[in-house]
Amino acid sequence: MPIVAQEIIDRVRQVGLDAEGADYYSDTVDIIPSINAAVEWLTAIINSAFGQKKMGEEVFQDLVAARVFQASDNSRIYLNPSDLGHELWTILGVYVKPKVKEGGWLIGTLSGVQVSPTAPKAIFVYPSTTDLSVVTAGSTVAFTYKDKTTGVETTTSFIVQAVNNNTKAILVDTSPITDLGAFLNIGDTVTAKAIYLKASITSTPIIDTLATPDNSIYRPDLVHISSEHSAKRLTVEEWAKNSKNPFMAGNEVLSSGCDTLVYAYMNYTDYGAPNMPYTIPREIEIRPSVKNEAVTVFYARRPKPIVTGTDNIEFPGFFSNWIFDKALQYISFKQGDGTTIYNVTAADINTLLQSVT
Amino acid sequence: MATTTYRYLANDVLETFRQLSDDAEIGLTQVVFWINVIANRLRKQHIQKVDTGTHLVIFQNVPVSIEVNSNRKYFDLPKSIYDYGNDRGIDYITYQDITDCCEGPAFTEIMFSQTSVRNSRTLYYDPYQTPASTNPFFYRVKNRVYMLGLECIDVPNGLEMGLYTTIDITESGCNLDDQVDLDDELITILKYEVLNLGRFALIIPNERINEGSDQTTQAIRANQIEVPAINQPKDYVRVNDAQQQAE
Repeated sequence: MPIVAQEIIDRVRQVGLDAEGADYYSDTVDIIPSINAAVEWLTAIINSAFGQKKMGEEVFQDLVAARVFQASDNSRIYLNPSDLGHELWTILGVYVKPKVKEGGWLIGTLSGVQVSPTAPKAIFVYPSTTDLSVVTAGSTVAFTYKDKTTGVETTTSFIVQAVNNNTKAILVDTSPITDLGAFLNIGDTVTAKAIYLKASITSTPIIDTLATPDNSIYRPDLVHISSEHSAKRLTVEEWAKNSKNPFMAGNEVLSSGCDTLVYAYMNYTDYGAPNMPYTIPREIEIRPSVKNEAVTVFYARRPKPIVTGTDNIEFPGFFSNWIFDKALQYISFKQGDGTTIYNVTAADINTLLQSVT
Repeated sequence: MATTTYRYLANDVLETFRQLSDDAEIGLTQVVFWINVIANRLRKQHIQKVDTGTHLVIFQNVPVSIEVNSNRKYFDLPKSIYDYGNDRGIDYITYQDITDCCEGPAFTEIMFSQTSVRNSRTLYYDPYQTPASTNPFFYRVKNRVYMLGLECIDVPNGLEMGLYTTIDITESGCNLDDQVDLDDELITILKYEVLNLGRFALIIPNERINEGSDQTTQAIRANQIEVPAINQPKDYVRVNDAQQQAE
């Protein structure tokens, strides 16, 4: 549970300053800015302690997010704060080849289409990894088809008549199109993206090629479900050395289907060149290449500064003392060095710091 | 044949060494590599001791080629084989006499005999041994196998051969659900040997690993070698400590 800011404000006022009911200290001028400063200070402490594995991931419990991105042609991802709606603090994990769920239209990879001899019916066949258990008769299937002659694409909805999760086949009534044969022949296999299911399907998503190959995109339409491939973080030096070492993460020696392959990522780098139209501020890079593929990034976002007492301080409750002591210490700055509050809080803060550093 | 998969065996080794964290010093690829290295040795010894067809791999329709410069007939081994004396990694090579369609399978017909570059010369002294299409010989040079006696005929259906092939060290185990191609009773030895290899990896003191920081002011503990016990890998014994206790 996050900390309600008013609890800290009251504690600072009553316990620390002995100023309940007094207007000498103002919430907006003194206490809230001090709390925000304390949160920033705590952020720096956690950065250090977490990096040294002296704090667990539970310190981020109110700040952790998992978002799906589509990697650029260069296998890079830019976590754009304006797309995400918040600033990033630290990356906790990068997951490759995730199974995802789409909010409305869930996408299944189509591996084949057979037009039934008794049209208007068609069988859509999905890969063996697709979970069709959630698709039931009566679900809607949107089918994007292309006219053989004109090449014009049209999308039409079909009703699912039967589902076989063993053979991964769906039988649909194609009655809106009485002559599906004008578009597909019996036994045709469609390997491109053609079928979208409007039911919950968890699978590796179909990803279009990017409009601008150098720019990764955030995919707010995809929800991360699971992944078997976490990427290991490498330093800049390791990044080059590991490339041809089959025993190290991020190598390009093992084939991409190899179970023992471990992906890797390199932290933010600005790859921009002054004379090139490459203006992405900072990107993480993943290897082996996941060009245009979905990648899930688990990260902690920066805690939002509080504005009023009703806001939440986005840290777990066990950080109350840290924030209280540090906020009080910031207020004591105004009172001049050597005040009692300063010394008392400094001692408390040192005690807390020693427990994690 | 084995029923143990790479997934079970490799993860068992990692679990035994407590090397499952994200900063583990030994990775899955490395353990699978060790498994293949050791399994190859055990398989070679096992095949040598036990005369069964368990590990025999048959290749059919292997085409016969003609070497450009020497005009000699040959084929390249379709897979790497164990290097036994007298080329016994090749169990048999045979081809079918196409003039007789009522005979049994190829391996019941014309069988090649083994020779070598050095010994093949003497074959031509004896009319009963002279290589011919009905009495062909083969000799091996690296991964190429040459044939004597087929100079005047073609073998349109190719050759059939039974080989004792090795485990492909770099590819096998890529699918962790593949079975380790080793008899079940040898798995304990395999695991023991792999653990032994792992001990060498873990015996390297941390001080010799580049941490990227200058630690010249710290006492160098290079002589303190941590020896993980095979049965209790967590109970490291510091050699220096043990020596001090003994003293």
